[in-house]
Amino acid sequence: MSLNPSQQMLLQSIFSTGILNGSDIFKLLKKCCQEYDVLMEDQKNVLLSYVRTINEAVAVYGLRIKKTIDEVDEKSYYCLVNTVESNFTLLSTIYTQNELDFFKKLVESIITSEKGNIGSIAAVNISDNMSKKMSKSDAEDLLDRFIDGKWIGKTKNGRVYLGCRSVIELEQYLLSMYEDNAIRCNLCKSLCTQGSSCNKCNIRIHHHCARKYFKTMTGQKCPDCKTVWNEPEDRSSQNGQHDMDVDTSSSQSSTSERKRTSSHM
Amino acid sequence: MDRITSILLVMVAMTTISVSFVSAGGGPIYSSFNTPAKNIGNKDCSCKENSVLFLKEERATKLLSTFSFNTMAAKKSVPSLNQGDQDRLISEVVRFILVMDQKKYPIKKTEINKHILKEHSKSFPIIIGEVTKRFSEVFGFQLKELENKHKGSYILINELDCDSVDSHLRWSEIEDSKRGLLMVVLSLIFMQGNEITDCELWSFLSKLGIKLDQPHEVFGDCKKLITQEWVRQCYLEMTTVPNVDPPVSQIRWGQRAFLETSKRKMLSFVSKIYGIEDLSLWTSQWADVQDSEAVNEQSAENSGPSTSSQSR
Ligand SMILES: [Zn+2]
Ligand SMILES: [Zn+2]
Repeated sequence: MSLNPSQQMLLQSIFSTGILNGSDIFKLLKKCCQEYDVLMEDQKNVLLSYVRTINEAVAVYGLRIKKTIDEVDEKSYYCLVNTVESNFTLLSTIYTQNELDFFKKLVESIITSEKGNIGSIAAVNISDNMSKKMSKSDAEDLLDRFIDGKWIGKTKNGRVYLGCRSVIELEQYLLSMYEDNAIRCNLCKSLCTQGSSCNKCNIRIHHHCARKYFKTMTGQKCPDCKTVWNEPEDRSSQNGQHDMDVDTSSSQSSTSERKRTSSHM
Repeated sequence: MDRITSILLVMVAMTTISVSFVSAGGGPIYSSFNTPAKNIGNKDCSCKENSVLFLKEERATKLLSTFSFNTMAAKKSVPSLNQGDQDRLISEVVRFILVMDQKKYPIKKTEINKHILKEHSKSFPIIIGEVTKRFSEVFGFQLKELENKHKGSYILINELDCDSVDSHLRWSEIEDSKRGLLMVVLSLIFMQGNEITDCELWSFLSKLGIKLDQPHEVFGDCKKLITQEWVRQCYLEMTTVPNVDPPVSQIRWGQRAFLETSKRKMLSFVSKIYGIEDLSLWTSQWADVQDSEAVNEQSAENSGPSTSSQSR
């Protein structure tokens, strides 16, 4: 099946960047429609139909545009993801083998951490454990590139977590490799690396899923075991507070955190 | 000399602000990540080295079952290629080229055979024909086989004919600035009569503050960018002049440059900077534009509509 030039322009553009946030995709859509004189009365419907048509056309090539939500900034993003396991992925051609080894170790240390995030110093120090040498400044640059590409996220307080692109692209891999640490959200059933968890039965829920879920009921209870649940109402201030807590404890002893991370690697 | 240097100064000033006015046709630039300049160009794109991130994990092998079935199926039916197999191989080749094209290095037929077609390599001509059609219908790219010493290698050229798409494929300022520098280098070569020595090029660039012995704040290692990265991407071609000491290299447009842009576009680009509307005022360059277009028309007539726009 073929796509019209306006749809091709959108596809090329998403392919070249890999990920777009919710407002950029509408700006792009507007350009694609203007360029080829496509009427755009209801932009949400146009986007929906473009994405649907493009996905039908590229499914056979193991590609799909997927919408996802970042666990920390809670904004929506549109990613081009691989739907088949393959030796040849966007990630594997852009980065060198050594850089991918670093990424792999970074992902492991994030996913096995208690809260689903680690300090950025600890992240850079992963370069100490590489089989092939990588300098600290190279590791810093590399981390920035992963952050730019939304493979890795960084909170205001310098905590490093799995970016929404990694979550959506590596979900199956992480679920099978880290059965104990990679847990699905009890509500939306997709991978949840942070979120909040039940004190009793250990299920996990995305903050954005929890807020939507609890809004419809009086009193917050665990959707699974019905224990009382404490989901903070204002997510953004809670987020800052939460990170602040973690950050103070780590900055008090950044060396010991470094040791802890390296010994666990 | 001075005249061209002044063009370049204006151009560079403009390119640092924006190069979106360049209607170069636009190549697919898959800068999925904002790659810093210094990290570009020194890596081999052979697939072995870039093997998938997680394949080494034994526990992940079960995930690969979807991908490994092609070898199994292939063993059962070596001689004939049924419709299902053919469709699957076409999809895999499209995917392979899309992914490998991110670095804009030409993709070799031998790589496609080795990694995807395997025992079906004999079917390459049929498969690549269908793949070319799919690229055009779905992705808006023309899959183009290179000529001469690059025969058997393929690149993707953007088929979309619009002004803004070009800038829409570059999401980082670094990519944008590099494109600007590339236009400067290509226009310089064209204005100088399609060929320039490396010494001439370096002396031009040094007037623009681009020094070979120290990394540029935006472009990084410029010598590497020009003589390795752009040569490998087929924007430029370099040959060493024989029996000259110290060694001298001649730099010309590469095949990708001819496919992504044209001499006419380049002359319009330079003229726009000068505020000149009548392109024929550039006597020798204008003659060159007309010659190249005549050659293009002729070769298009000779070899049919599918191969065009290649000019020497
Ligand atoms: Zn959820
Ligand atoms: Zn519970």
